[in-house]
Amino acid sequence: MTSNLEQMIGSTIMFGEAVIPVDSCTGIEVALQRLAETAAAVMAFPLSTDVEIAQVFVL
Amino acid sequence: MSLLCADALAIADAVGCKRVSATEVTQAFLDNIRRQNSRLNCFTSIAEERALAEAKAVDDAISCDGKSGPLCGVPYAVKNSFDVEGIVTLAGSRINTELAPAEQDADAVHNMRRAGAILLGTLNMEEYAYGFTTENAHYGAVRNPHDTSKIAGGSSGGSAAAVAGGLVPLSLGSDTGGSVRLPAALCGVFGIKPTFGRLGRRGCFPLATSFDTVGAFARTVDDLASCYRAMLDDAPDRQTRNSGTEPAARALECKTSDLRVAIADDYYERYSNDEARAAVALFAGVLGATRCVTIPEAERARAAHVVITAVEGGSIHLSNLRTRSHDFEPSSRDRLIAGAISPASWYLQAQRFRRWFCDALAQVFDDVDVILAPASPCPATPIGAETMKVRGVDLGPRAYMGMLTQPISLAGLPVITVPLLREGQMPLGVQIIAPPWREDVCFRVARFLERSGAACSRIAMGALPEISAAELAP
Repeated sequence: MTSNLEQMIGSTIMFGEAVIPVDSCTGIEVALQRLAETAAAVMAFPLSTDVEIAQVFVL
Repeated sequence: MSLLCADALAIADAVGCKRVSATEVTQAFLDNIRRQNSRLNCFTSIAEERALAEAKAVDDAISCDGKSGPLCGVPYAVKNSFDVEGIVTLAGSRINTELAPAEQDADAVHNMRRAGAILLGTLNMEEYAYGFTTENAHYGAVRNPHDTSKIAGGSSGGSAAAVAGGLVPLSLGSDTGGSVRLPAALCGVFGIKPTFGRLGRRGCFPLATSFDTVGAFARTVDDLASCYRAMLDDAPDRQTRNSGTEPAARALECKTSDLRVAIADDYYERYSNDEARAAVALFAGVLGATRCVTIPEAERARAAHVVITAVEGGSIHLSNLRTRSHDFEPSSRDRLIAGAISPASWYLQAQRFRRWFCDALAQVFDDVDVILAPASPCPATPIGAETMKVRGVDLGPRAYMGMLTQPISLAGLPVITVPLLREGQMPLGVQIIAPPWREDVCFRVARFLERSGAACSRIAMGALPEISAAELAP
């Protein structure tokens, strides 16, 4: 995440091969900030190491 | 009664008994779509040639040997994220217009055809199903048939509005975080999100594979149950975990007096306005439910759902985000990029929390059989509104209108949204939530509420077409 954010210099952000105008970067920053705040609530929840990831695949 | 106003099973009965042909039904609905669609903006493609061919096949089968499927001659339409042979699967995007047409039908479409239903076309939706308002920047906003200045909800907005507006009696959608339940509520129709993994989703364009679920919309519980049964597959794909199929038809005859019904409190009270809570209280009263139950850590469950959806969605679209991000809708693009560059630890913790949450909800269902909760914090907002006020707090409808459906998606539970139509006001919906694989319980409660008269759905006033004599059923 940090390496991508550090590219937000000048008038554009490089995301892969895309050059995104800085006014759009604002939207990405806002979205990332909101997602970080949302994720913080999940990260703060104490889970025992016994709790494993929900089974997604069916063999 | 006009064919156009008839429910699905009445049409199937009329076609099966040869009171009207499937071709006549199909033509009448196609004509009505042409008259009405510009007002509601539901359809993105009309499959006239295919529809008339399917109708002829149904008529021929009935003429030859009298055989007819349970949905014979019933018109329906699908969210444009479903593969339909010969049609490009748009998934609400501009980018997908460059894809080749689908080579075969999605499993759900295949199963509907097997039941005799007639596909009329594909329906508008949120871009890549990532949002709750269906204000699609590429194809325009879907308009709510009850008030065309209001949103239909999303992401399956076209599917809900097409049923509420009388363009079709049945439609299919998908639900990742509320994309069936929410538009069903805002448009005043019944909607089902089955247990995660219940229905095959091959041929459905994904948003977040941890949650994506095929669902359906109808104006009656019987129609919804018939559509659900038609989509149940004997041979689920690798991503489904079909187990314990409950016979919905038999369940519909049951009473609800043996069910322990509770009302979701805490988070669901804090994030719903007076109208939404009153709708739950009304249905709870009809069911004789006075008990409340707390869905543990519901707010955190929504947070985990948001993280997983963003990361999985960002992963699916990573290549296009890197090379042509300007072709995405700005709001979904920003959130998808944020998901694509999120730390893996967020995603892993959210998935581990999901395991904890499923176990915690299983304990809740030791003491109750059904949970009632509002489907949305408030009724449909105006198209273009940047905020909605929920108990004094301004929130963005596109991301937050589904805040009461997302926690349930984290646990993959089956839910039917039951509509409440209100004179002079926009509709609301209540989620009927049951334990995993117990869609039959959802149907029992929905049927009871419908029979009591408390819940009902009908074609929205103003959406009724002018009926010609030729369109009247014999």
